Amino acid sequence: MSLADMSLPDLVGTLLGFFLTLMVFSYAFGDNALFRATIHIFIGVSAGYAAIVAWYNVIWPQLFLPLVFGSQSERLYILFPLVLSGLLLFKASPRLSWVGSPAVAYLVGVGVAVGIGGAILGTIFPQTQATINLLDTGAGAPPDGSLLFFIAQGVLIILGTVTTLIYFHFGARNRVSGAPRRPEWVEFLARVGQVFIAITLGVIFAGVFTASLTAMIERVQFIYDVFVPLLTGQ
Amino acid sequence: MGSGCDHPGWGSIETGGADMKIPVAAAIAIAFGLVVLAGYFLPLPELVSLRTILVQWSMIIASTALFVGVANLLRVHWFKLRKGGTASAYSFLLIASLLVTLVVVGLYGPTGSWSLWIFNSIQFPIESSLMAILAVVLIYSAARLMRRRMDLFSLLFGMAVLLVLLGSAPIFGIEIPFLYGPDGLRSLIVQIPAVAGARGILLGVALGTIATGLRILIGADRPYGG
Amino acid sequence: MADVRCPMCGKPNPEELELCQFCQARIKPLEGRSPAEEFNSPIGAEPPLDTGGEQDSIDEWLNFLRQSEDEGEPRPFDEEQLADWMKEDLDIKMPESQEPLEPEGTPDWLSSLRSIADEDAPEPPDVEKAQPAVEPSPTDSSEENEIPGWLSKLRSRRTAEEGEADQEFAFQLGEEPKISEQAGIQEDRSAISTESVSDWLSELRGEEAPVVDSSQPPELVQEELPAGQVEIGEEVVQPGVGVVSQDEDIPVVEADRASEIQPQTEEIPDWLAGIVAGGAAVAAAEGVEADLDNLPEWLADLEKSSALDREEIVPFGEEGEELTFDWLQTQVRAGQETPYGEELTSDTLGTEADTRGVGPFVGDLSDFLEEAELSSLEAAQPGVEQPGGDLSPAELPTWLEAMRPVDAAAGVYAIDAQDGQVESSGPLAGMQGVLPAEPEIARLKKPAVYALRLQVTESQRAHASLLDELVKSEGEPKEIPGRPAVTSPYLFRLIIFAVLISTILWQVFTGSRTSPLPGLMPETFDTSEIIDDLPENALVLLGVDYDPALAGEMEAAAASLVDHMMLKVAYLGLVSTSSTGPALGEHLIATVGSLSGNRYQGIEMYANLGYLPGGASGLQAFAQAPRQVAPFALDPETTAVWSNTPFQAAQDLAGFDLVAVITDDSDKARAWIEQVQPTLNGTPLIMVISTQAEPLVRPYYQANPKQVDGMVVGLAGGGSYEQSHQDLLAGNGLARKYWDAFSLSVLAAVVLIAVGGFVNLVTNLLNAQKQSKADKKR
Repeated sequence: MSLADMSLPDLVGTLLGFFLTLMVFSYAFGDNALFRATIHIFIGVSAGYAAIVAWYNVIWPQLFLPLVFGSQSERLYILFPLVLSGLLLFKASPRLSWVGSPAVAYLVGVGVAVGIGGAILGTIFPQTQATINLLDTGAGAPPDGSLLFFIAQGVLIILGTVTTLIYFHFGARNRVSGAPRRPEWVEFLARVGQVFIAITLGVIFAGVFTASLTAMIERVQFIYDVFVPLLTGQ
Repeated sequence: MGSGCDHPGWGSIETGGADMKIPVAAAIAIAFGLVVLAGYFLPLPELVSLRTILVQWSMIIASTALFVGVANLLRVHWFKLRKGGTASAYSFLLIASLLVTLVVVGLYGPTGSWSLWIFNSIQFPIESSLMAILAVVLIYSAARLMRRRMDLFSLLFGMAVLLVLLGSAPIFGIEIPFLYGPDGLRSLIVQIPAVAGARGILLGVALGTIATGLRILIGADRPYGG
Repeated sequence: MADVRCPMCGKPNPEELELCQFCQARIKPLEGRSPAEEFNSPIGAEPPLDTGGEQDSIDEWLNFLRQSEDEGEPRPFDEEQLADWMKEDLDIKMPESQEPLEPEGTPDWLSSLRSIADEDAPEPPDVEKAQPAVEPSPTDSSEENEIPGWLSKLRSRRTAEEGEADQEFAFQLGEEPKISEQAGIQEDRSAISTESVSDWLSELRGEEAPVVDSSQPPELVQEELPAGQVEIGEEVVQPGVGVVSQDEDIPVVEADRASEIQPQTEEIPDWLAGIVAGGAAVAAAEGVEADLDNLPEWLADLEKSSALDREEIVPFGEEGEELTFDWLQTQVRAGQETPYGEELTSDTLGTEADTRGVGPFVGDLSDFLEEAELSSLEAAQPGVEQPGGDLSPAELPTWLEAMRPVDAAAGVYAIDAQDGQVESSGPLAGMQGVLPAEPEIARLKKPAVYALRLQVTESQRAHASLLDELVKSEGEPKEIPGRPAVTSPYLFRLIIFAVLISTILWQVFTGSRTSPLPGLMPETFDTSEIIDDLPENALVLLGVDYDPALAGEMEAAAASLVDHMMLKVAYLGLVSTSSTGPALGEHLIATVGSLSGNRYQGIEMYANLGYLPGGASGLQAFAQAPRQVAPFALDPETTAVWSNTPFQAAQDLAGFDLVAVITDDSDKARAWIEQVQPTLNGTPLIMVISTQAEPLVRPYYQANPKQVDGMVVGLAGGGSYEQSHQDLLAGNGLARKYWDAFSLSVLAAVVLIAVGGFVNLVTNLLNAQKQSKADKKR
């Protein structure tokens, strides 16, 4: 869409975005007031938007609507979260923040339990089973792949998985002389796991760069799409 | 966040027979956490329903926590604004943008036209631009890696980065066979050693999550200030 | 009954008393060893003679002296009891009878004693009731004229002079004689046996030494001496010091102070007179009534003594009531006032001599006393063995104590550094080489003057100055060195930015489409197949869980997939666990619509269920009860989608035909997999993820059984999807739009990383070489 086809709000918005993009890109030349101002505007907008979304999505429909328009059972149903939510509001005051501790404790307790359940049922069991099934030719062998390659792949993945877990094991016995050290065989396997971890982190780093590069491409594209029409008057 | 057990207002629960005081906050966290956890492993319909209710309540309370965070942000920058100085101008911008957003989005809803206008015109460009600037920083960091630290693992890290990047796209339109493509080196690196390491990391993270969670559920850790 | 004046307090006491009833001082002398034996015996040594016999002899001798004094005649002494040296030396004729002996050559001191005694003769004490130190023996009378040679020598040397002698020194030793009260007079005290009297006493008798008349005080020549000093013979002796001066003037023991046993002859040397005087003093202390008028001044001035352990005084170990020797201690205290180390000068002594009384001795006792003094000094030295005696060192008779030249009251001491410090207080006053009565720390002395200046070494001073400089420099504003505007890192970052922007701009500007899109990847193929297998009007749950920062990549990766679903006329339910998700979902739908022309608008085509707070908890709640958790859509009408839309068929997430999650974060992806995937019950789960999340999500895709059924990874995955479905997005896929710029910029990035890394590596090596060279030079 060209700038001429845009409505005024869209045009203003586009131009606003254009200048804000340039202001952020000015950081490449060093920290400056324009960049800081842009950042503060961004924080204000994102915080306000998040608050309204939370109100629209959760507080109003699930807390106040049942309280005002709901039945007795619905009111009783939301009594507990209503009380805890009220207590949580005291966290905004440094002096009375202790009042909101039970609400925070509830969030922490439920969140922790959910995390434990998900970790066990969603990661430990399936990933362990997947590691075991790496050498199961009947379970997941590629139909057109080489069996040797499949087994080698499985062995390598198993080795990498086990050695990576060993690397994160830091238990050691106290020794009479010197600091506690892990046994030699554990140290050797940990070094092997460190190799796999280094490769994994390298891949992650490349992925982050790729994502950021894509974002840069999108922004440059945007600037081009705005600037050129402005320049050419299209 | 403050500690609840230190204030005389919130007392403690004395366990019968045991000379131990459990703060109220810790009792809440442990009790409800155990109920939710039991609902994962015990196929009792009532327990599953209770778990669902408790988790729904946590969503409501979490939304309130978001409100508390925004209110705190407003308070801090309000004090900065009243204090004056150079930073007060930035605080003014923040407070102004926040209030305007609250008003506009509050009136039109999160998916209203003006709400989306604010989002598309301000938040979206700024965040995208920040991510774009990150590319420059990442390249600079990768180039400085060899100067800061030079060992086998740094070398492996650097080689993995270069190989993955080189195999991500064709070079001048030319697809390098041993590097690019589904059977290329890049795919092999990503699918075998990276998966192995990532699986180990995932298992380790899961085990750590379980250990940390159990410590909280038994009351050994009290991050909520109890 | 005649009263006996106490030698200490001067108060009259009945003569039968041995101890003064007021001050408990001994009125009657104790029976002990002979003076020679006492002086020659080492301190602590056992008396060479039998104690009882010795005591008997001493008592007999003293009694003899006393009787002689009373009768005005020298006591007869048993010649056998006298020591040989006494017989040889003394030229004293011991009286054979009670009549006072006045042989030729009687020393002046003895005659003076007699004359004084005649003048102020008190009533003779009741010798029978008392326990005299010496029991006169009738057989001694025959030996009265036998005067030992030493005594004759003394006689020849000394002449009695008038004056008062300070007899107090005889009682100033710590071993004061115990004074028994009237009722407690020890009757079993045996008199001094004449047999045990040394030969000198027999000589005394043989030479017609004057019999000591105990009833009459000896003729004393009163002379004023400084307090604590006693003139013995030709010397002025200060107790505890020794001979302080050689004085021709012989202090004479005052008659009142003297023992009742008075030498009857002038030949009795001074020491003997002192003994007599001491015996008289002891007798007086034992309760013998003394004529108060006849008491010498020194005795009358004596204060009442404090309570003393009688056992310390009684030479023969007989217990009795405590004796008080306040008078002795008074002298001791008076002597303590004098500082140590004051040299003894004749002037000092002369001054003191004027203020003090006459010593307890009359006559010339200088030689004897000098020997006694030496022996006492030797005894005070550690390790010096003194001749033993019947008495233990702690139980010296009063007359012997009187002979001991110890005077703690005298302040002038001739301290011999080799001999040790002289005790100045307490019962051991005047003794040397003993443990001090008062600790050194309690003695008043001038405190040491410490320099106020801090004593520091040079190194400490240097460190202190260094620390001082550091502290001072902290408060001083430091000039911040000007940083150059352009530095190498700054230039490098600018170069990187310029290169990237240039390459991207070039590709954007040229609109190049030369780089081929990636081929079909396995994960993309799986995703494509799943979407192809969707039925018409499928219900798809679309999780929009990415941030606006990566909206460019995610939209480029997911646009074709969403368009593919739109082509399937799938009903899309947008949900997000991030607050920006609803807006991003709307932006995605709008972008896809603008690219493909398939515009999804209104609740009829999709429903934006909004935001699920709580992260994993929200997903878990949504997975368990989606209707309760997200009952409304975020459309302006706030439609209850679960009752009026295709959502009605879905009671839970398993009722959806497909769950597609678009996320850039591996944690969010993991939360979806852990919380939602187990509840799907066969509903496929596909993910559109960023390249940064691929390594941590791929294990779930490569798991067996799969937890993620399909995956589209980043721009390459989107390009692969577009490549495989070129009809999607009307050929205007975002991946295609960005791919050329992406490929060139990636190459530029690789070159920048490689060149920069190589330059940094070389720089590091060069710096390491320089550092190693510098270290080697050091």
